[in-house]
Amino acid sequence: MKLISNKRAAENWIPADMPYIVLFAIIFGFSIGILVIFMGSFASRNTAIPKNVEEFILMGRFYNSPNCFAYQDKNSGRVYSKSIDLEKFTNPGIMYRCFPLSNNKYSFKFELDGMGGLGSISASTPNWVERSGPIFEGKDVIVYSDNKIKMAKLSIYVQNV
Amino acid sequence: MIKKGSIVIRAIIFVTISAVILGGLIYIGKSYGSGEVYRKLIIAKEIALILDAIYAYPYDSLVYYEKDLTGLIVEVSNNKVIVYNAQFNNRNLDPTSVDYSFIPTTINKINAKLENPKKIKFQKFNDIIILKNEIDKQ
Repeated sequence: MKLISNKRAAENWIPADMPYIVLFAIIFGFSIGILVIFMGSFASRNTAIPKNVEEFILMGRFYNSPNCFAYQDKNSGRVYSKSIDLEKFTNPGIMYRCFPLSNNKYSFKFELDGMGGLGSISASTPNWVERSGPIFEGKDVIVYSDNKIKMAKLSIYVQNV
Repeated sequence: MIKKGSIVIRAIIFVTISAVILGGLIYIGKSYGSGEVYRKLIIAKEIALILDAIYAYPYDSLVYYEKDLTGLIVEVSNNKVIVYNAQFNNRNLDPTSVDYSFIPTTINKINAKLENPKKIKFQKFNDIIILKNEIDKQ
């Protein structure tokens, strides 16, 4: 404490080599930062999730979760797995709850075929960019529309954002 | 002329800063060398995938993650699973903390902090997911 409060000693506090020390600290810190980022990306690649596993898990919500397209009986509350409620499917607002945009790495597009007179109906997540890409999965689903049930084919496309 | 007291203060500051930097580098080196970072990343990714799968599941559910994570803290906040060493108690203090994001389907956000979990219980009831350290017995 005596040393710190010594005003005489503090006179020459900033030495002539201080700019070099600051420069060294900046370069050193920058190098460490790059090293950590490089090692972090290396670690991330080495622990990568097997191909398509994450996409497969994520796409399940669209036809299984009542917060997405899955049909939920209003009276019993029962949710029907592998089903599509057409009212939800054609409501773009549902995506902001079902698949919020923050932090996600994927975008999805859906095409519902075999809807009789309605032809093909499509929906997509808000971050979908229209470009050609391979189909990820085709699935037979039950479509609920105006208290009627129809069978249809749901095609799901996935993009890495 | 540089005064004696000034030299002592400079020496103390430089030694302290050097010790902190050296300690940090040794810790980072040990974490990568021993595979601790890889372990944390794998845990964060596995838990994020479990949460994604639970969100995709239409019914109430109960899932156990049966890995002994003693020495680690698992934190879930802002749609991210964060894993860091328990000795730091704050992810910002751990230079090798990791995180991985998951995507919720509800506005009910998960906020959990599990210290030294031996077994994590994921419980989904009425669209609300709760994470518990199973030894809590709450």
